[in-house]
Amino acid sequence: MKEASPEKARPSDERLLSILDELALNAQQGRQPDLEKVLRENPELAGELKSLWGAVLVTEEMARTQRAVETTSAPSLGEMPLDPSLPPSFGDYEVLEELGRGGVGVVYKARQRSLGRTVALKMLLRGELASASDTARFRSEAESAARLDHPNIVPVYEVGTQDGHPYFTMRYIEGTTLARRLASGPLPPREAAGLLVPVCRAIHHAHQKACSIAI
Amino acid sequence: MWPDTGKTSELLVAVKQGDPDAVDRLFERHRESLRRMVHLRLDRAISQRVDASDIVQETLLEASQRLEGYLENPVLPFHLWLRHIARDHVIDAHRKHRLAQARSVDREEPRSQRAFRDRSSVELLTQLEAEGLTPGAAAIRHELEIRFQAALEKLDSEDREVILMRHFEQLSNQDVAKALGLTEPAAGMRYLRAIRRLRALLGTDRGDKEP
Repeated sequence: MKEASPEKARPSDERLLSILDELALNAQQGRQPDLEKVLRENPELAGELKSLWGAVLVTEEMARTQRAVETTSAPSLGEMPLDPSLPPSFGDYEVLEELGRGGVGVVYKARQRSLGRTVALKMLLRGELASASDTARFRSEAESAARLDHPNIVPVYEVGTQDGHPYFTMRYIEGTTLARRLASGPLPPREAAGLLVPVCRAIHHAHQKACSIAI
Repeated sequence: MWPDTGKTSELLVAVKQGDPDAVDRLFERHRESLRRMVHLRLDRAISQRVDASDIVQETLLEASQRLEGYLENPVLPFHLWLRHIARDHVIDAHRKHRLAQARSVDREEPRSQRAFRDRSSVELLTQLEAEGLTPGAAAIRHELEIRFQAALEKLDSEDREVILMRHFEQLSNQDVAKALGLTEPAAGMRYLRAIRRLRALLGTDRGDKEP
């Protein structure tokens, strides 16, 4: 077995490595690593620590996505991979499948046991790892959406917190997404314009309620 | 992502005692981890022609033929031994397909989307987190995947290997050291070197073109 080419190991490298390991371990165990504190405590390493931690975060995010990919093809735009590690149960809800995910949120198709209905359950992607600002934004999104009442806006059923995880549920709509619709190429102009009409109505309604909506 | 080693040890004991069922269970519980490990290492061009599951099948076949020898002298923890065999098969597959690969036209670099060109991958990750569940987030995620893949392919194979092991297979530094035949501090330093190089490939692209 070939030994690593002799690197010029700086004395600070060992310290750098052990801090990175510690941060990563915290993150993997679902605790929010306190990067700012670590940087304050190690001012001489702060620059490189911050930069390397960025690379670790990108890598972890990509690894997480990769683990979710079941097929050999790369996930294409608008067809995010399904996560095999679905949370099986979430309070009153039984999680059935993942419908989609973005930067901070994930939406599952779920069954609400008490009422025997199927809903769309949205929660924060990172669970306990979500920052306070993510959580606040998530709440305000849920509250804004709950104030809306329009046939072209998915109605919010419930906003709540389960074991410290904020979530909200919406009516489950059978159908497709715009991204999937467009995956095979552009729509005919008339059809595309037709699709926009209800979108405009919905946005007009939201603007009149003076709050932002996530579409 | 690798199965629990405690249960593996129990199964190994059962195998030694001649339980034929235990052999099957031993291999079955490693199949998915092996498939992912192999899949991560198949070149994009090759993965069109070779299925990771086929390589896993060959790996398990060879492992079952060599199992007796392994039980007499377990040089590595079982999961690391299996990955070692799998790795040989991956190298073999690449060797067999090297000619075809050289002719293949789809080796060109994936192109970045113009909108993201002046931002580093770490900046994109921050932006991704700010986007929520929007079509914009999907586009950023897609871009980030392209960038990360390109960076990974630019790394030396030694650096790439240690990144895959630590983050994608979630192996501990201790396991990495054993699998690579290094001391733990040496494995740690190799990881640090790899993360530094990866950071350089992901990072400094604000405004400037690839070298």
